[in-house]
Amino acid sequence: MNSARTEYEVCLRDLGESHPSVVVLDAGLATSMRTNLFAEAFPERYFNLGIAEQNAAGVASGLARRGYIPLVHSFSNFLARRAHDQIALSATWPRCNVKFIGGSCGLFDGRNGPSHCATDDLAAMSALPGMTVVEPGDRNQTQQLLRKIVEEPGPAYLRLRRHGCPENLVPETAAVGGTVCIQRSRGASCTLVACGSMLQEVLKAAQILEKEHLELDLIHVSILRPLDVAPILASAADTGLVITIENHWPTGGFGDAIGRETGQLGIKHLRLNLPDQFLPAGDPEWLLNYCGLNAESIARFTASCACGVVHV
Amino acid sequence: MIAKLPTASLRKVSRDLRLSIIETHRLARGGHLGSSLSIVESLVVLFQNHFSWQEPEGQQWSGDRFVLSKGHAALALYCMLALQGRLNRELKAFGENGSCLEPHPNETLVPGVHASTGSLGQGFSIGVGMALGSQLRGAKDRVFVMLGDGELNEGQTWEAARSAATLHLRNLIVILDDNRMQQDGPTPDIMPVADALTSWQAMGWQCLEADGHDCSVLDAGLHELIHSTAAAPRMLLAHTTKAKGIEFLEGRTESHFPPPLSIEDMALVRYSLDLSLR
Repeated sequence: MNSARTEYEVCLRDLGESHPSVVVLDAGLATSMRTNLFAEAFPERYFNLGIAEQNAAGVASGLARRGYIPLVHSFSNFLARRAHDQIALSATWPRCNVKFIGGSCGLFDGRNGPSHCATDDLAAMSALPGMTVVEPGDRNQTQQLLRKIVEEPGPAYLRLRRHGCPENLVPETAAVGGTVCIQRSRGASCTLVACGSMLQEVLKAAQILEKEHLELDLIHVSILRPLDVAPILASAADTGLVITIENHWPTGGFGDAIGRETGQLGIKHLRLNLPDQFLPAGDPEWLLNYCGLNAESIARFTASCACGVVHV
Repeated sequence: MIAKLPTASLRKVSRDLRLSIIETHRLARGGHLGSSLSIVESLVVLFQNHFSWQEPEGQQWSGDRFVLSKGHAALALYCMLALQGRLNRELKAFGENGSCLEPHPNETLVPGVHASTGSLGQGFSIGVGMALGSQLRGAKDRVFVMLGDGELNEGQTWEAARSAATLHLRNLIVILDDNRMQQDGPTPDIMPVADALTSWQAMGWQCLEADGHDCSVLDAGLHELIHSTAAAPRMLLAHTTKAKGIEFLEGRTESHFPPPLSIEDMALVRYSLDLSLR
């Protein structure tokens, strides 16, 4: 077993305890996806189907038709890209109660390079009608979102960081509201909207900006589809400027989803996202800097935009 | 289960199904005719003599399941369901714009369709999952999957076959419709499987082969596989002819999606099928 225990493996084991219909499927990456505690506790409900994601998605569909709630685990690239047709037709179209758990998402898992680091999975999964898409920002949210998608019928996708999320960053009660206002400030000049795993950097950026006396509204979104955009639009009505920060390529991700809403209303919307390129392999801190998504970069960008400076 | 039929009756129903398929195709002015006609006897023998539609009360997840993994043969499935009085629409709806009888089966629209298929390989994996679910529950129902030999081009079919064997799914029965043709021509010329029977046996399947147009042999083969005590999934390799029953199309590439038969050709086919029953 590699490295310390993640919140996910504990959550999954606990879920197996409380939900006897939950079945866990692995596609040959069990040690990375951290399904081991569940497998040890419930061997009769655990199946490693080998490195064959397309079949795993279909098997999950069949299990769901027999009343089980299968959770399919692999790295997101191998689900959202390789098994996309199976996820679309075998699971999502018939609204099967299948949950796809994708690991190795975005720059926090960029050490293994573009083959393993998912940068377009939100686009692929969010494109599917009826698919619920969630991305936690901290440990509380991982636990609560996992429970939420299992308890709500229908297909869902949970976007995970391979080595776990940061300690709890937002109040536990706020975690699964989907779209949560973390901070509203009278006279705020900007609405910062963090998507999923970008929460920590955005919070750090907000601290930097607070020292510079820049008033902000701060919102976090953990349920990307269906998207509750109302709190964002309410804030934007006051601030006149929305900046979205996401751990995903520019096309088809969170920024696009928000842009569809703000564009119709003529709200100014700027976006920070992964660059439109296959990323070089690197550690999280290095990639955060490379992509302009570390707290300092976010703060600098926000300050320049909020002050009306043209940003390139 | 519907009362079991003797071989003569199975042949009669097969003739009726074949005519129904050709006539529905004619009225719709299109459809995957050849692929539908090669599975006629397999469908008839399965649904008449081996398939249980009953679901235990309050257990909607239970009961036998059939997955037409070669979903382009939906026309045959619809006609079979209609023959058994299980279709929720008249066959003339096939091919109409917006009809529930789509060219590939849509489970959200047709109650007798247990899984939407059309993207080849996917139905097989769904069937594996259904069988695994039944096995987990200790249920006695079975899952039947109809595969095409062209479908074996898809890597997913081999993933599914290996997983079923590894999971020892004894409640899973695959009928492999080996008509040796696919859309673009003969399967052996495009992407051959040297010996499907041996390949599947090597993976851990219990396998039989049969003349896929001989109701008696199919009936005996399915019975043997279903009642086997082997801790393995089962496969019946059905040697068939694409477009079986329409002499001028049999085994031909253009039988995949041919134009509708003329009234005259239809009469000839009917005559020929009636002759074959005598």
